[in-house]
Amino acid sequence: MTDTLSERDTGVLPGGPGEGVIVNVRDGGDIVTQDMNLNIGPQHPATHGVLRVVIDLDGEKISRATPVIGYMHRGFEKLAEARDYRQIIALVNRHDWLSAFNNELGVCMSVETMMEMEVPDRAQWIRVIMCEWNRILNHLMFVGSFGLELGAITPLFFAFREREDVQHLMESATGGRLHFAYNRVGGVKEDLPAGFLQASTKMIKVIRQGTTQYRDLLFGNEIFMARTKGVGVLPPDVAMEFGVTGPTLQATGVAEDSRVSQPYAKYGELDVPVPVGTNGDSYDRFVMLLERIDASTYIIDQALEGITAGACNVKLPKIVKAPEGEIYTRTEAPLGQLGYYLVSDGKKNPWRLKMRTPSFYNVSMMSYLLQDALLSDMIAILGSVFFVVGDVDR
Amino acid sequence: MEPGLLDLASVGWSIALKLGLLVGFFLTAPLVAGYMEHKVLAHQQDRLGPMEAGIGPIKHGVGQLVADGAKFIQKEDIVPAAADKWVFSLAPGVALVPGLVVMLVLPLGPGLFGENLNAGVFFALAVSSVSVLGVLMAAWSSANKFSLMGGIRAAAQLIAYELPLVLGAAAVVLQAGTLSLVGIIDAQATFRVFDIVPMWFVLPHAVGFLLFFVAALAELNRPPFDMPIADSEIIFGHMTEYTGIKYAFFMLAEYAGMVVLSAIATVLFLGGWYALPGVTVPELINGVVGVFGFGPYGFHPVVTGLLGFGVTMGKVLALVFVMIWFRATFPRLREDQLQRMSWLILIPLGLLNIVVIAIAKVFG
Amino acid sequence: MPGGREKPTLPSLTSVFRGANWSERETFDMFGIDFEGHPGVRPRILTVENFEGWPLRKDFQLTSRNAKPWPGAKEPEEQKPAGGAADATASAGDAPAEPQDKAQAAKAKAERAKAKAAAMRAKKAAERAEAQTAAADGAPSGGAIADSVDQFGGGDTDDEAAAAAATAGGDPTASTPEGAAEVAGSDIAKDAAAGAAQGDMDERAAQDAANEDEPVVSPDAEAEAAQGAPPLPSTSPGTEAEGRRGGAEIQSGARDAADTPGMTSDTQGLGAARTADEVPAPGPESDRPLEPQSGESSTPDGGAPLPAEDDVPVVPAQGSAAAPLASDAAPEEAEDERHGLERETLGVEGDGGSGQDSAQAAEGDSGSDQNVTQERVAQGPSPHPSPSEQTDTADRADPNRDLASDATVEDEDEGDRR
Repeated sequence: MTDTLSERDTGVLPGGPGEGVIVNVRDGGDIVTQDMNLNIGPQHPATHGVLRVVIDLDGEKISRATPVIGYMHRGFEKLAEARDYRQIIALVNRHDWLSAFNNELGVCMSVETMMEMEVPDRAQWIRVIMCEWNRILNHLMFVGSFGLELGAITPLFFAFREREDVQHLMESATGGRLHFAYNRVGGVKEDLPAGFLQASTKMIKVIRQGTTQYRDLLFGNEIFMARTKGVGVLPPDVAMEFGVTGPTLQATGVAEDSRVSQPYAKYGELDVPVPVGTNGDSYDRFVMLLERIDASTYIIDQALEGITAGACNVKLPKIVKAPEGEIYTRTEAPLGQLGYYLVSDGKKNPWRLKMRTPSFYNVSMMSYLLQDALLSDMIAILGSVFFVVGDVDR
Repeated sequence: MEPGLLDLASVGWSIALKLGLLVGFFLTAPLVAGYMEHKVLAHQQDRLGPMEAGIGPIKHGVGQLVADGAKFIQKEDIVPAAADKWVFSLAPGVALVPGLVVMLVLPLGPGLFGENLNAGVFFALAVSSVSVLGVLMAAWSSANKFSLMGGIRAAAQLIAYELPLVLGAAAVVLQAGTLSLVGIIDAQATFRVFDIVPMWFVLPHAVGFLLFFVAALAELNRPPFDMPIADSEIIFGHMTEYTGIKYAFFMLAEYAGMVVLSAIATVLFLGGWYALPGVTVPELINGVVGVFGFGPYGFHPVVTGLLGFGVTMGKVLALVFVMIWFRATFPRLREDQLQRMSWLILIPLGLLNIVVIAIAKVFG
Repeated sequence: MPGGREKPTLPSLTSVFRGANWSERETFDMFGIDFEGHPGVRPRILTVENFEGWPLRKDFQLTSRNAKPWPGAKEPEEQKPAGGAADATASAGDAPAEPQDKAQAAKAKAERAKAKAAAMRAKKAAERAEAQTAAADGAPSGGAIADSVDQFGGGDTDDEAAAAAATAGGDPTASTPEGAAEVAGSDIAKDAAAGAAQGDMDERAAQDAANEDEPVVSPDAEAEAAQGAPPLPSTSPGTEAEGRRGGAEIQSGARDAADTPGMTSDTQGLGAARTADEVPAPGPESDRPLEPQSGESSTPDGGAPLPAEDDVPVVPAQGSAAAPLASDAAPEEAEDERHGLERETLGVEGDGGSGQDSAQAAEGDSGSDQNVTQERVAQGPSPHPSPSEQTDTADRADPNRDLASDATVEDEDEGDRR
């Protein structure tokens, strides 16, 4: 620092340790500024995880932003090639740790379809219910963290209050809090515990109260509106070009939801509301979360009525082998469309399992949104383009 | 200038007494504010906050901040290699001392003040804004880009918010006709709205009070104006590189600042130690017991002073409570939004307020 | 693909879809495929810049797998040559104890298979018929075994061997070793010497079977195969194991559990059971088939009827590792049973041929070339018989003794079921 101070003649003023802000004083006192290069992450409170965004700052304005990923790359696709289908269920639990059940479902459905297996009705219903609970679990997380990133700490605690309850509910059925591993090829691990459906009914009421409370807390808040409205506007065509899906896409006004466009499990028999936004800004994206939570409770309501008795899985051979062939299964994970491209050579482990994770494409769009945004808005954008770093890097 | 309670016959003793009480107050009041923040925030957020640390049998986390302080003292004092060591080490002190100095002139009870300066308001506001210097020093010397961002934001905020703060206070000064803090309290005691209803300045100066309070939040870097230390954006602004006792100094400075600015607001707008407009605590007590036929009691000046101190602290903590409440409620503003709000709304409003008050003063 | 394997290239899609950018970067990163017209596939997106190789290509081996191959990655056929040596070395130390061990293991298993078959018989008529045709290949080897039994067995065992041969001939007992196991397991083996002799015979018989059924790759592999043989049939053979035994490999295209593993085990169990008609089966054993229910994770708990053949997989763990110790160490058996359950919950049973697993477990083989299951089993309570156990052989050969130990086991089973 002192060293750089002594080098004042060179026109370099220390902003950081000799780098960063460089003010070039040229003849006539004409000040030419140079952008400051700043690393947001990989360890930064706003990136929830190890996402790194390299930004060039012109004052508070971001002139260029480059997301750098891969800090959490665990090679799931390679690992999947060395594991059999039952082990893969435990593996895919972990790429998006907030939507474990939805991830499992994609793999199970792929294998089931390839094996031309009939999944019992009850298992399908259970899957729908669990998917939606998991979706709520995921969205509540983002509801809380988004407020936190904007500086409002209270929504986090409120959201986690409900989240904890939902987690208990799911734990009662699956035994897991984060990695459920409840799906099996051909159904689910075991039937729901006694009282689960009643508890679900009760929980729906709690969730609805909760969302009302979040709305009161945030939408009546001038500052919240000022921070999110018109911030990070994503046009629908750009969103689709980048393969953005899920609430981020719906916020732009595109009503795409594979639960509707390509129903799986029992979604075909249900009324699945697809909320859409209008502007595609941070506010709309956040509203999408709450609306999707409401939609999920609505779907659970229907599923609780529709659920039938019966077996909840099928008998499997000792070694599950998908017949030779390939399949692409897409499901609506909480963060967007989750695709598993499964190529089998008839062995007990897949020849190739490509994971098309929603977060990866959501984040790839980030440099578009961050262009010319303010540093503070970057946080609002990062918080509202929903991603999980494990889901980005796999 | 009438002498305060603390002015003893011997100048030396009275200085010693004042210093002792001042330091004592300075070290305890921020802890009370900090403890309030812990507990109030926790309860507003559906949780309990610290429950274990206590002093003796009193639990509920009352000893939490003492424990925190002990922890901070034990921590390693890290100075970044690239940092400007002297400035870096000096900054927490610079941030902390103004709070201490301002307390010197705060009238916390009848006769309870260190010094009754003629230019009390001026002194208090001028000194309290010095603490921003500490922030800037810390930001600059840390050799950290996030710190620098925080420093720049703090500087921008300082300029934008000193003005509404001073404008809000200026209207009160105009009304009271004195710069002395004690004088302002006394002026409120005799102040009548339309010459009938006794009232503190908070009612006629509602706009000024609002300006003052908002500006105080901004000056203290309290939410929703905590952009300089926005933890989700620039880690912790100027405090990013600080650890241990230096960091504790910054935190102490923040809570001391909350107490000091709340106290100034109490003096300027809320009638200081008066329990009701124009009614001191002894008068109130005598009035209440008088209803039941008990005679007026005489109160020793020390007792009067302590009772007044209690009332002042009650008002101060009420304001601190509101500050904490804000923190639980509001997200953070954006820097440009804050500037816009300051320059386009608060400052014109402040100027207008002064004009209105001046007209009312002259013709009312 | 243009550029060949060394420098493969493809035209880029980024001019059409901006979102293809990262996908193509990922493809480059993982496969080394360059994209013409891409704004820049470097820096590498998921791996580090100086990473060597293209991770998702099939020739890229995971680093840890260089040291120790992932057990589940290979089919058992592939790993036999490699694994055989390890087996041999691992088992070398226990060589003297082995035959008795195996005899015990095989015996226990055969008995269980008997009981199970009895329990299953009613249900499985149709499947049995199917299995009989499918397992017809097993008949000759059954005959061979009978021969070998004749050759080595004492006079008392002749009847049994004949019975085994008979069942093998008429109703194909695919399990040649089963016959031997049956012999070993019969209550005729009364003294330690006999037990040893039978064990020896048992092994030879198995070797014969192996020799007949498939070309032996190496002595080691042969040994392994032989060791693997006795427990195999009565347990739940994976299809791989089945194929290796020399029977026509039954593809898991027939994916119902009842088909593949159930088929073989059923026929074998049937064969055993038929001989069992002549040999008094230990009473408590009849309860055993039910016991694995608690551990069968893929079993529908939601009220779906539990198929009896689901019991099969747990048995190897007990039959192999536990049975030798059963007479002396019930707690250990309990522990082993836990391991059996563990492998069930893992869902990898039958992975590399459970029969082989259990055989190796019985040898105390810690070679890890099979799969996770096997490792777990092997790491369980050591099945190496201690010297005292060896001297105990007479006791173990005593059926009454067996009854007693089985009773303990049954108690534990009860606990399990609860």
